[in-house]
Amino acid sequence: MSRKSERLVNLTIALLATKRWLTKSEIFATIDGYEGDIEAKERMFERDKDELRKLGIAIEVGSFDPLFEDETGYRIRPDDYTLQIGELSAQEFALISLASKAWRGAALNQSALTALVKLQALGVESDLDGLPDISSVILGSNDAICVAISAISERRALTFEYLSSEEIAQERDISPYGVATQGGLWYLAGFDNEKGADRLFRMDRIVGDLKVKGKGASYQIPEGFSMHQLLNSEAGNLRAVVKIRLGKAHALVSKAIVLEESDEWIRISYPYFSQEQLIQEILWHLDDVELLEPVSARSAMVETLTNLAHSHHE
Amino acid sequence: MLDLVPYIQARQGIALSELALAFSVSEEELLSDLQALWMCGENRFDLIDLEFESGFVSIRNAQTLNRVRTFSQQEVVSILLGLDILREDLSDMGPELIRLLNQLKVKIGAGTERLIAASAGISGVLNAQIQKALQERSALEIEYHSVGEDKVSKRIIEPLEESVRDGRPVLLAYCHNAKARRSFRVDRIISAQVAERPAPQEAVQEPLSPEISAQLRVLRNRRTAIESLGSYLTPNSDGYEVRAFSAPWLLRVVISLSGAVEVSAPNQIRVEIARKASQILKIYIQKV
Repeated sequence: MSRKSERLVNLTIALLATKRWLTKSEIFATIDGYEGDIEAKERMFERDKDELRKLGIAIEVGSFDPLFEDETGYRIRPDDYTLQIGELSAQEFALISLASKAWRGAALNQSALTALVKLQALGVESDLDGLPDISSVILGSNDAICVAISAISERRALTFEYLSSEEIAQERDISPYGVATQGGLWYLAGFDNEKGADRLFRMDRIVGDLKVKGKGASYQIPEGFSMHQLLNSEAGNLRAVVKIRLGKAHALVSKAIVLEESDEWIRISYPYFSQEQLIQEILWHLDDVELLEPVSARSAMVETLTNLAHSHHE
Repeated sequence: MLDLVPYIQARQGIALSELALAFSVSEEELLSDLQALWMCGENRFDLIDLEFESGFVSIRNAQTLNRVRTFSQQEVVSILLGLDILREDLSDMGPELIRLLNQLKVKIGAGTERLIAASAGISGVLNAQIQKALQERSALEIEYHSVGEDKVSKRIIEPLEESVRDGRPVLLAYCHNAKARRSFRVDRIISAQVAERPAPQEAVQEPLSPEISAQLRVLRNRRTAIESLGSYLTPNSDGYEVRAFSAPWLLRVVISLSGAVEVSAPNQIRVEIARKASQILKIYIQKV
């Protein structure tokens, strides 16, 4: 183990144990490992501070007497350092350990694991009684998600290239609000700084890396923003009515309300997002599904099919 | 390293191997961390007192560091996403558990829980059954939705291994109905139950379905087209070549893409698409 990690631990102990501000010169005098001339020491100290911040340790900066231009002092408030989570019941802890298992080998596996270890150090025991035998999985995560999460927590803008509907990569510049995963796909929501509106991006359509841009705390996430609500509205507020041959189109029936059932057909109503997506979904089922409403989509369907038959004719 | 202190304090005398396992590091890495920690302290004369030579670890004189460190943002998000994923699977267990889950999200998220959302697309209950069958080498009776033919069928399978294709988990299993190895997309397994393992059957030569190949042009809506055809697509000078094992699947993809792609060869598939499109059209024309 390098001297650096010893230095970091000692720095943490010193800043945590102190009841008053510690100045840089005091830190350099008491903690081993700050070597070289004063500039070298200062550079080391700046890097150490960054390192600790990355670990989630907040270092407070202040001075002894605000009325005078005093030397700056540093300390870590024990309350900021310590996990404040209140009492955790055994069942709550069991839920958290199930949650952390969902990452198995995926992007945030390590974070989920260290979080669990911290809770174990609180001395909470897990109680799996009353919980079903479940093994949830989080699919398709990658490192871009970690970049997005730290940008969101620091409130920093992100830039990236995004594939348009014609597969052309376009430069985007957003203030990110949140991330989500649904059925193996990942989404990034944010305010598009060029389009001047909120947008939802599918992360697998991002080409290359996410780049973090500019300073932290550069924007605010709107009070009422909720990732759940956003995804639900994207899933579709519109409703279609379709007729399905009995025993067919399992995928559609599973998200539908059944309106009427006969020996051969059922009539269902189900939510959709756009006419294009609706037609695509219904055509997948060939002649097992008939679109009844909305009527406008019905005529679009006729046009699409006529063109298809025409263009593929011998 | 900082997190070792409160953990050991809560479990004085823990075995090295157990501690290494909990932090998922090797024993060598752990020893080097402990050695470094041993050199730390409030000052040169007041060091942390660690004992680990016996193979069991105990700690004294580490009051300052004996606090559980607050969660990093990534840790918070990892737990929140994990908890949110559990939501669907626990919803059958009654509202009480869901309420507990939501309270827990607020407790851990402290306001950030509204910034994330997760739903799995694969049932955790089902996945647990599959994992168990893989471990115990037991057979399962599954209901499987084969999308190409849009049919739900019951099959007895013996799970062999799990893999990932296009970001989705796939289960390779011996299928007793097909008498051959088959791949099953886990998100299309509707239900699974432990089943009696059928008597071992004579190995049957695997009837490989013939590969089909078609040439196609993407006319518009390129992103949707390319995403729908996924890894079956290879670009070439005339557009794209698509290779697949299921003709019904290809037919469905092309028709559902609503004219965004056009099959240019072979003629047989072109004709089939035109025929099917006209057939579907009849449903609509009769009533207009």
